[in-house]
Amino acid sequence: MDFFPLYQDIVSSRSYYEEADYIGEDLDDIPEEFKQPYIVWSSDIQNKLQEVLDVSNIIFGLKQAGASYVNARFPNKKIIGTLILPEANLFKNCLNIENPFNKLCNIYFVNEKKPTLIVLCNYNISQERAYAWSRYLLSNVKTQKIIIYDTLDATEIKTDISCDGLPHPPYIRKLTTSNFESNDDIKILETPNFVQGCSASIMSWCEINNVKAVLYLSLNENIYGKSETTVETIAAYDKTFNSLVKEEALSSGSLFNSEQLKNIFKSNFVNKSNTVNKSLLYT
Amino acid sequence: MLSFIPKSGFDVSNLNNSILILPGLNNIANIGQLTIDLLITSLNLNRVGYFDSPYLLPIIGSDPYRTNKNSNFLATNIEIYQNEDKTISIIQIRSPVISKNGNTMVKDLFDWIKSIKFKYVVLLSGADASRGNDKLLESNRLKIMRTGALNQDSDFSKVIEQIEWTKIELHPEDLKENNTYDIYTSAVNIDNGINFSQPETVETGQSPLIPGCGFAYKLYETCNEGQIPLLFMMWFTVEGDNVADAFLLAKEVGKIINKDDIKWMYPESWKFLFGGLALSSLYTS
Repeated sequence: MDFFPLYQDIVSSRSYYEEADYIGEDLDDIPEEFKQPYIVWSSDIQNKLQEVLDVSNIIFGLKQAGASYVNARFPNKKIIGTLILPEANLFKNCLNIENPFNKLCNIYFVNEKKPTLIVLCNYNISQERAYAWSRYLLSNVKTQKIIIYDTLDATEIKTDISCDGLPHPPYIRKLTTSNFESNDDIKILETPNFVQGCSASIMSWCEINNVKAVLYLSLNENIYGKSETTVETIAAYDKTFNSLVKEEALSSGSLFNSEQLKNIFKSNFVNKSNTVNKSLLYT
Repeated sequence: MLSFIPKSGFDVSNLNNSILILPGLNNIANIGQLTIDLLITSLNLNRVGYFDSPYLLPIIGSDPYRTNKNSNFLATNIEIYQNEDKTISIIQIRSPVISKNGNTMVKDLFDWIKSIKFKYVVLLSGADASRGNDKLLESNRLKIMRTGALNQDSDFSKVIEQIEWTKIELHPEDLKENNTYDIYTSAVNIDNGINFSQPETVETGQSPLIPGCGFAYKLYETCNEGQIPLLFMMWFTVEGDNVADAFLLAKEVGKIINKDDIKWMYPESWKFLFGGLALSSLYTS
């Protein structure tokens, strides 16, 4: 369901009524071996995987907003592989592997100040599969630090709106592991808000395994009941620029100006068939 | 597949001989989870370890109990807490189990509980009061069940008798008599004028269904067969504002763990449980 106030991907904890169907046995009609994610590596790094996958930082760009910002922030990255999730719907993809509208999860390598892996994921991953996806990827790499860019839906934010009203982009919050030393002034995501899905699975792994990690969450805009990325959503991510430099993930660069931000938005979110709400896309 | 990862510096043997309290999986109104939140905040417990399971949906958030306003505390989906004197250990499960993997999760939990020598286990769950008969609705909302191993504990039996919980104790045999039809909806059908005749009972060997308990009864059964001393506390309720239910159930738990004088504090995560205040601009004239 995809209309206000009902949204997709609602996982009900009230599944107690389903227990009658499942109480007898654990049902799963697809064999386990056909559900596992797998990585296809590029031929030139097949022989030196161990060397390439021992990095200082991994940067995840999740959902189209996070992926588009990270893609623009690291223009000199080199593609080294792609992570396939068997159920991901790829039929609208084109042959150009770097097309931002392709539903893919590409893995890149960049060596700005320190060796860094970049993972840009554009396909939807259900909450039930987030664990398998994230654990498979993290079991193949070694890293000291993880930085994740993801989005928050405006309808899911719980905050006191009586004085300030509903929050609007640019609005950014973060969550860090217990061992992460913060070096920016971005606020922590306030209780009782929480995060689900792939970023939650990655951060849980980091917390449990004592790997330093930070998750940056930029707010999507609520447009006619749908959660949509705007230029301001991407602009909010740029508040992390100084952190990226301090974490030695970036060696140079500068903040994006408004023209650059609009171009990032146009190249990732506007295609020929996507002309609705034009006035809201170019604020 | 359930892995336990203790916090650095925590000795796992500190869990031995403590009372373990945990919520039922996927129970109605999340009564188990709400009660556990109250207990953790009010008893001032500290996190001592994490679990990693592929069968729970992943979630994270900042400190739900606000024990330290400046902390970098990252809450995960299943964690264990303990008090300073190591007498009470509490598992909090913050996300639902994927239904089709519920039985596997129950088995994993049972295996882990068996590996630690807990004094006994307290399992908290909601149960659906809307499907109860008149007798159920007129009685105490709390019902308990004990495993065979806990029945043999004479000290515990004395405590149960002292607080008069023998009156609210259910026995598996009582439930098994009606295992082919829903004992709860039979009353509703009669009230609605639908002709109802009790079918012949056929021994199928299946677990009785307690609506709203999720996988809690399955865990009780597994612990019963595995000789784990476990007290199953069911709180009959319906969906809605269940804060009062959690508070009442927590008070009952306090009787069992010898903590009658707890100063109850609501956790920070209960803020905006039903949304925030309305926009003040709606009311300007």
